[in-house]
Amino acid sequence: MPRIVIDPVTRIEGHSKVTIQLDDNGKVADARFHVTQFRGFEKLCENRPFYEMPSLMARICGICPVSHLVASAKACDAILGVSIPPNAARLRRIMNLAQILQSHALSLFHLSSPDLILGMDAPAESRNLFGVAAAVPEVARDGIRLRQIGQQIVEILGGKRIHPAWIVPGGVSAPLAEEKRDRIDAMLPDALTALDRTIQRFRHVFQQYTEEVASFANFPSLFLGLTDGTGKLEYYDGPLRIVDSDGLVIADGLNPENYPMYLGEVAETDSYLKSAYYKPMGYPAGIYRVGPLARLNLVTNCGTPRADHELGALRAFAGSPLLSSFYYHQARLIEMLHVVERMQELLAHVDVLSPHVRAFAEPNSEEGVGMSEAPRGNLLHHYKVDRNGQIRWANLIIATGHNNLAMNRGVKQVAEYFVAEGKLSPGALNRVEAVVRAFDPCLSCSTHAAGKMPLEIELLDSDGMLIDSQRRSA
Amino acid sequence: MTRPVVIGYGNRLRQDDGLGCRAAELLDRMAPPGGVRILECRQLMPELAVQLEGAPVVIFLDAALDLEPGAVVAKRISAENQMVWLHDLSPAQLTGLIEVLTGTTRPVFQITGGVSQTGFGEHLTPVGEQCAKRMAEAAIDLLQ
Repeated sequence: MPRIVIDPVTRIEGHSKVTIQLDDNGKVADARFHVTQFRGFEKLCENRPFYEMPSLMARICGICPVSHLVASAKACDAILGVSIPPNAARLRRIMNLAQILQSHALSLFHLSSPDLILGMDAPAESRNLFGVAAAVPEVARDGIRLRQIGQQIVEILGGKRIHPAWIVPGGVSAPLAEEKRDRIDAMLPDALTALDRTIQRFRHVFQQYTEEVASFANFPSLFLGLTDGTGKLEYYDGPLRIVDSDGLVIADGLNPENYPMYLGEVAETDSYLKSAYYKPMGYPAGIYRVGPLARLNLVTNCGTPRADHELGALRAFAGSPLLSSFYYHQARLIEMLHVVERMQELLAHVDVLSPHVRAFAEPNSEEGVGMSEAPRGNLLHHYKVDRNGQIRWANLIIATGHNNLAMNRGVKQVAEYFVAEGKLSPGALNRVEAVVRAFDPCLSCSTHAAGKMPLEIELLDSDGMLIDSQRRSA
Repeated sequence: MTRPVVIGYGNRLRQDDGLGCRAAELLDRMAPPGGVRILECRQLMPELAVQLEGAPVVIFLDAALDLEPGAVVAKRISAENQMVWLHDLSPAQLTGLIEVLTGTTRPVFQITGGVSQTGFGEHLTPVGEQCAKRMAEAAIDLLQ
């Protein structure tokens, strides 16, 4: 049986490949998204002192180290058995929101805007940030500026943009100085202005992609994420909610500590990325999505005025819940708006400069679970320690793992729609990659890779013989 | 921003790989106050483009593996308009990005110094320290 291999998938964080299996008539029989590298952080952290975990786990990723810091520190808070000071939680939230801003800007502008602005069928050599900058300089500049603002806030708070060590078990290592608060606050109006421009420009851009809306992982599934307990967007803490494709809440108020009761993980033989599923519905029927699209499908509203206005406009245009994963892009844009507004609220809090930012304790529990919302979706760290506080076991469920089943189904759907006569045209190739890109998978988190991104596609016949190939060098 | 910008980049935890950073630090002491803006970073990211937009001159300071230890080379950089990997641009790619964003050009130079050792370590080798000093002096010459 012939198959098409796309290896690697480009403009995502990490290395992966896609295999499209064709039947004897050249039609798509199956498609798989494979993650082709292994990291194994859960094993290498064994026997390390638990208090090292936030810094160690932050090294999982250079894009969203703050997400791992937050989830890890929360798991360590549980091991300490402490409730951290309210201002420590407030400051952790600000850093997490800043990181969501920079990561979403990277995904939307640097990785996906070449497809969206220049077109899915534009020449591959121009589909990059240079191409966008040449075509619409203000879009590229706004994207770069938004990412820079997010990174600068992380750096102001944590001392450096990547792998800041400021979030620690029990809180944060230092309070927020007034001068730093003012510097951060001064950047946010600029971010809102850039986002307003982006929303206006992209409103028309998104409307051009009706075929992609129809075919980019557009199917019923569950949606999972944190809420604030009242139905508003929440990234740092709170109970889990799960809604179905009709928008009905099928589970609410779930305690993250009890995740093994409702979340399962399956290891596939052709990928280093595990697939998570909702246990009550079994595997693979318990397919669900996480991340910006899921979060906006879960909540009644965002809780900030500008983001709520845009969410209302999107729902009025496209309905609710949003089933097409193409809408991840719009959801990301709305979330960027929300996180900037939310940072303004938090920075204006009367106690944001409070010096009480850390609780101290010895380990009081041999187990801890930490859950937060990372840019790409729900993130879980679960540790078990011995009586000396050394890590004996760890489990991480990363957003990309939550989305693995949906990404696989999405790749198949796009392939069915765009692969014709057993051939993968350049436009079809890009759309297969683009559906993966819409999820913004971070294989750096779920496994990892670094380096250049050559692209090789092979078309093999039923005997495994090469009948067609395309190569794009790095 | 109307001041020239000098960017020292590299890894200060790998001995002479931090040559560019050290040279930038020395330049900061040698240059007239307020005359030049000096930045230090681990690698060149697209976000630097918006910081460099208004600079009349840009100078990159970096370590080089393909030079004799201690050797210093200054050259003018031409813009490059292709980018594959977003997390680590070359000086030519960053120059290209600035040009395409602004529609303007400016003189861009790169000063590189040959490394002696790049093992683990927070300090330059003696050869590297002398090299960093000459790189800073070369930057002063270019700025003048």
